[in-house]
Amino acid sequence: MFRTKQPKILAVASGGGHWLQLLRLRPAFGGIECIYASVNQDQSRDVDPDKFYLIPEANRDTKIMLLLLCLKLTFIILKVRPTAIVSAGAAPGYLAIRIGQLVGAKGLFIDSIANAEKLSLSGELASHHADLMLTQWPALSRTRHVKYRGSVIHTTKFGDPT
Amino acid sequence: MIFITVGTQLPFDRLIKSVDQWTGYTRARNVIAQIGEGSYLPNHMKSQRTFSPMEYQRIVADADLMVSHAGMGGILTALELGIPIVVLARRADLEEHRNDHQLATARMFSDFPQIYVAADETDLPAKIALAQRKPVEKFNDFAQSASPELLSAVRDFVKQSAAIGNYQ
Repeated sequence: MFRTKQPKILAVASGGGHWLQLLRLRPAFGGIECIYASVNQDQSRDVDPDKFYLIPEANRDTKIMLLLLCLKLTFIILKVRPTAIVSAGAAPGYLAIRIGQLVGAKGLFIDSIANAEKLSLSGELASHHADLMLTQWPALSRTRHVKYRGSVIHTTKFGDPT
Repeated sequence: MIFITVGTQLPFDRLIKSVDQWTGYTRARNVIAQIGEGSYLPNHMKSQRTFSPMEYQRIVADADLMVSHAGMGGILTALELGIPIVVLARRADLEEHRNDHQLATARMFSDFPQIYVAADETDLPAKIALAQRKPVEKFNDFAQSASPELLSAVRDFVKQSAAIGNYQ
């Protein structure tokens, strides 16, 4: 049957610029329970007192770490039971969305603002699966599945989609 | 203080070597570099492979100028702090990255008044001099968070994820 739930967010990103971009989305999470996952334990300070899970650092060149990453993400998702998975990239975000969707979570993938001329590999993969797939560059939003809804940098320079 | 960073993952000796030589030549003091996995070890500036996020925050808070690969970590940090940044893009043909997306990033951000894009490693000294000479024009509309449009798209998505009609 239908029922209403409280929204619950699992926010996932790799380190560095991906994490900084995820942090810039935090005002959108106000009043909603949000749990974070990223690759360095020190990052938990950025989101304190919200809960933070450490995940292995992995990319397409590190297959064994990718497997460990999938296991850890599965564990986190089964424990947290998020209604939404929000990711600013890269591989961990894509994988979290795929795993989350298996247990009913909706997945939002925001491709990094670094990808100004074509989607990242994880963004390309996510575009086929995410419930909402966003690029931060209007020029990349031409296809049906990839939309532009502003960027993590709020300036008139990246203003209106043309 | 000038902070040099190439991120923590991939080496970028082309940038580190060039800035190190510039530091030696100009006898610039107070240059600190995060050199990641690079094999070139600087002779003229203080360097470390990585800094913990705590150390990193302390260093960037002290910096008047950053010199970085064209990664979003450095660019966002400089924009948030309102300090100038000189960037050099990694190139795939030199095996500095898997693809050339940093060239695109550098191109797209070159309009920002506080972002200086070096054409190649030989252009770094000129861009550093330019960045040091020109006062930073503060971004009035640059906030600490994403654009209102993106925030509302994310918020709508999250709220709808728990809405009636969504099975679980």
